[in-house]
Amino acid sequence: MRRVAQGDESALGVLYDRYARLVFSVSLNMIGNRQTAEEITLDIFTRLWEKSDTYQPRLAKVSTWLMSMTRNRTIDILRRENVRPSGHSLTWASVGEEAVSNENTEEEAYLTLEMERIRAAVAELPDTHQQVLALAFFAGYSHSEIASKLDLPLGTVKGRIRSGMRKLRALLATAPVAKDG
Amino acid sequence: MSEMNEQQIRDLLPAYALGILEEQEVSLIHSHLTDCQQCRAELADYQHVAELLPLASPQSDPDPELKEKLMERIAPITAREESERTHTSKLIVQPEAQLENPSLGEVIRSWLAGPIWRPVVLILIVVLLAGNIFLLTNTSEEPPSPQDRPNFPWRRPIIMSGTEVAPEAVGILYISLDGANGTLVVDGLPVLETDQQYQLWLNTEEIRDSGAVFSVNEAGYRGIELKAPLPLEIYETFGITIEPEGGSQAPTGERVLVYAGEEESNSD
Repeated sequence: MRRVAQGDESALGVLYDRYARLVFSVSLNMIGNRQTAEEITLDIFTRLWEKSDTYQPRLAKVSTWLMSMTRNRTIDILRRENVRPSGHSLTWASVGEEAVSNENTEEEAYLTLEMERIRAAVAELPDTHQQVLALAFFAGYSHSEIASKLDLPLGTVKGRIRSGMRKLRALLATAPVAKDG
Repeated sequence: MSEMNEQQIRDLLPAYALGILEEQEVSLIHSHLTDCQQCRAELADYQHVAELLPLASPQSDPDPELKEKLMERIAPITAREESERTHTSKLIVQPEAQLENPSLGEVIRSWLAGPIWRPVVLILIVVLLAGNIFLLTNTSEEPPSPQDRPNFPWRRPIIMSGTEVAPEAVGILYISLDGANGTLVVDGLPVLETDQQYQLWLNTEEIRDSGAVFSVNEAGYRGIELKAPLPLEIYETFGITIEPEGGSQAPTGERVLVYAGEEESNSD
């Protein structure tokens, strides 16, 4: 990131190689359209290039920073255009599905571990909880919007989000352990 | 919805971390978080979960040509930044053949001939110096001893502009490099009625926090240390409004000073 902030385009290329798949995947899962997801990916890395001098490593990893920007940008588009992709269902990755394509750096190895942990944790939630969490996180729906969409009582939706997040919090409470070998 | 008890607040923390609460609920939680360290710690756990959720998306690869498109897109940005750096260096470094021993006035004129922010910054520096001299000559307090005075580096200051309500007003936010400390300096604000005060708001797309509630002296000047529930550097826009004495949970009065973010500032 330091090199990016200094205007090193090759450093941006390295970050793109490392995180573009992740950014694109999140955006595609949220918006359901490849072309739009690719535009969002371009926007995110362009913004990273323009704002690299504001990045504070103490606050968050680069991946966290990128994910936050991706989610916010995609939700902005969903709300501004008042669209929800028709026929598109929000999904969680399966446990065992390929994570990052390589583990050349410490952060990539860390990402792989965290991907495996979060996927395993989400898989332990009841389907009903996974569904409301996906609508809340990936579509940015409020409690009332989810209740309306799923034709559920508002209290039920609030309870499922609350208990789902509490369970995830408990399952993810310990830091990832390095692989053996 | 007026108030919530502690349990109700804690029940909403997961949804707050997901960013899906209504504005009223967000405001109530912010007020509570200011004084509740336990809830702030619990919220941090839920925010960590929310940070990991994107990693649970199914993975897909973008078009292989996307990287090339990115490099083409940033090329004009890089060229523009390099052009600005070259222009700046030409203003500062005068060729010997054209200018020998430039006077102070010539140096100042060449510096002011640059981007519009330069004269603005120069005026602000003068205002701040004058304000500080005024404070030093009028305060009865002992200045802090060197070992008590905070000593941390500062970020680039954030300059707030006066609105129609207070067009002559100026505000500058100083945030330390580690984002943990901040100071607001305002000048030129009208002195308010005794039942009113100014309030600083710290904003992101999802959050609005109160950073300070204050009054100004007879000259419309005040320097005040900021307090916020979250690290100061996460906030993107800032505003100061007129509120009832003691402040409000959300802005209710006229806005007097505003910083709308880097994109709007750079679009001038």
